[in-house]
Amino acid sequence: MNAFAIRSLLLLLLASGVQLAWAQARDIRFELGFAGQVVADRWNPLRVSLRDQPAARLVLEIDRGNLREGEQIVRYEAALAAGSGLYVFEDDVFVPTWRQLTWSVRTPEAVLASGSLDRRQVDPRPLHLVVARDVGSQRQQLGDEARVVDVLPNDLPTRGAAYAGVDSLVLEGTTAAPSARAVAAAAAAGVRVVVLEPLPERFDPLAGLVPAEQQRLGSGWLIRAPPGDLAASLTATARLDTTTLLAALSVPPLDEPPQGRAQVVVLAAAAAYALVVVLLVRLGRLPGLLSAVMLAALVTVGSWQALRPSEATTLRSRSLSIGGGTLAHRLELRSVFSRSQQEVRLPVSARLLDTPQWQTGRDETVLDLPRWSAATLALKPRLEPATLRWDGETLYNDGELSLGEIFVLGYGVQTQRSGVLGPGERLGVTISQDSLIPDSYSALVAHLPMGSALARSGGQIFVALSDREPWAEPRSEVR
Amino acid sequence: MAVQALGRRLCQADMTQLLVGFFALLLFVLTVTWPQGTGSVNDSWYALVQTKTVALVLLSLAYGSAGHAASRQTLTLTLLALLCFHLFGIPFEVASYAASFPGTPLWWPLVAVTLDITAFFGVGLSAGRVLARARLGALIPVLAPLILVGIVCVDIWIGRALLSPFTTVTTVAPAHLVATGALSVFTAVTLLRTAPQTSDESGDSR
Repeated sequence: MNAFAIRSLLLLLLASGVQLAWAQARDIRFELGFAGQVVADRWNPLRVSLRDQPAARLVLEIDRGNLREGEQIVRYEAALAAGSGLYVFEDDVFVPTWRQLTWSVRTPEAVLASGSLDRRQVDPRPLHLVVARDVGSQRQQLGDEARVVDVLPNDLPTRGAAYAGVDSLVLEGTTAAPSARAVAAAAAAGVRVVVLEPLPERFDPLAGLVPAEQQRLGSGWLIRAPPGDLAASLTATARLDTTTLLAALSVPPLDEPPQGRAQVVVLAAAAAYALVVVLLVRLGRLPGLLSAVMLAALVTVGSWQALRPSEATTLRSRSLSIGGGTLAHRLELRSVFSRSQQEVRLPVSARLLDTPQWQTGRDETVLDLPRWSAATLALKPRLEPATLRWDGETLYNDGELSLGEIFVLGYGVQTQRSGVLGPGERLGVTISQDSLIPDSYSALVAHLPMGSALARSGGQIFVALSDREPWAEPRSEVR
Repeated sequence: MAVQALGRRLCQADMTQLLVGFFALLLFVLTVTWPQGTGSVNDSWYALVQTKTVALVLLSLAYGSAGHAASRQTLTLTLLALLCFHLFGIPFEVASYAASFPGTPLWWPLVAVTLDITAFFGVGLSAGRVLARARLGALIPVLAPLILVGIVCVDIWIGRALLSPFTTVTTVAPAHLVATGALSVFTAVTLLRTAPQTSDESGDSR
């Protein structure tokens, strides 16, 4: 009888344990990409929902290695807060082409939930998001090769980086209206947002966002089109390729070692010191010896002061802010050069361009740098108010920095106002005799449409994209 | 006065010539290893500190073995003169360290080289005396390089950085510190047990 009671108790405990584990797994939801569709080598939206869970950590491990080079792990970690009720964590993660992608939600004691993505799911093709009750007709117009994803209006994030792998966003008036903020974020991040007409009243805020047939917002487009013209609208506009723009931005390389003291200077100083010491020792006897010792001490301190850089790490950055209308899409490169072997923690979320392994999180990227080595990071793209803006044929500086080296594709270098556009100032564009592309822009202009205006302040380059595309031939006289 | 005597020792022709040669060697290493333009890694400290250490260890072994018949005073002044070489070479070392950012702490080569000079001076002295007693004095000139090669071989054989100045100067090696510390004590004892003045030198000093 006792044995039966013990067995029953054990079974009961086992059953309750299994039930608890099942309940925990069910109360943790992990979503990467849009509707589970991940775009390889792009930033993808990440969403983790927890219900009644203890404080935990999300760990995402992406092995991008191969058989020849072995494991190359990109690790993403984030803290998930504890609490009763629903907790939602959202961020954007750069997902390189993976061999193995695993995720887990874990406490120090246990793994609460985990999963993985199969190697066969690797797909670098961009997504076409459709918000409609029936995506059939849109799917037909976008073609068989297109990765069409049916999304709910509420699933559209308001973060620019989430749309890095999205080519177009098609909105039809048959669903609830998505938030205007999310639609603006998508367009500003480079997506071609097509609003299919007619729209019901509940879409009025969106209709206000797209007053014209087609207009720029950030680095993308807002387009109004009849349902049958979706393919034509997309053909008429082009998405800027941020990957090639980033590559162009990294020319000339940012991660070169900083210049040290010239060899000639060091050798001359060392030879002079050696000569003085020999003379003091040879001719000075006791005073000479003491003077030589004091000189050695002084030169030791002096050489340290003269040759030791104040920081072992040199940070450099270069950014490209692509504006259209009042919003801009900011791409930023940052290089870290470390003279000593050290672990560098940068308070940014980023991916590394030339290093196969790194560790990142929501607000921090950790680099393990050997002595005299450099790493270049591409920061998570973000949206910001546009600094350089077109209004008709006039350029406005809406920022707080003075912009120089103003160049308009098709119009040349703008030399009015000594080539400087101060904060709050505007500039009427003219056809310039000087059509030579400034060195800072030479790699970029090949990837920008005609009519793009470029200006810079130090390492920050600002681009104002024109609304008209294709850009008209240069006019004979402009203001 | 001891410092005056040291000054006089450094003024002697052999020491002056060696000091010039020592500086010339350090300048040559700097010329070869200091980067000429941008984009180059500055590794000058590694080459410089190794060259400096090996040169001073060789000098210590050579002067130690050659001084097997010298008085305590002469040997002590010679050892101090070699330590002065080390002292005069510190600005080169610190300058290259400042620009190279090696992982080794700055204090390590300063301490290690001081102990190396003292330790190997005693080793050379004892080896020189053994050879002299065995009536093999003709081998004393080749003793210094032979001992250096020997300690490098011992380190390779035991598989750790214990005595070799090539490897121990760029990496903190507590075992090396213990070994050279013990040998330095041995040097001090050997010097203390040496006669204060030889019969030849007593005539000179008068």
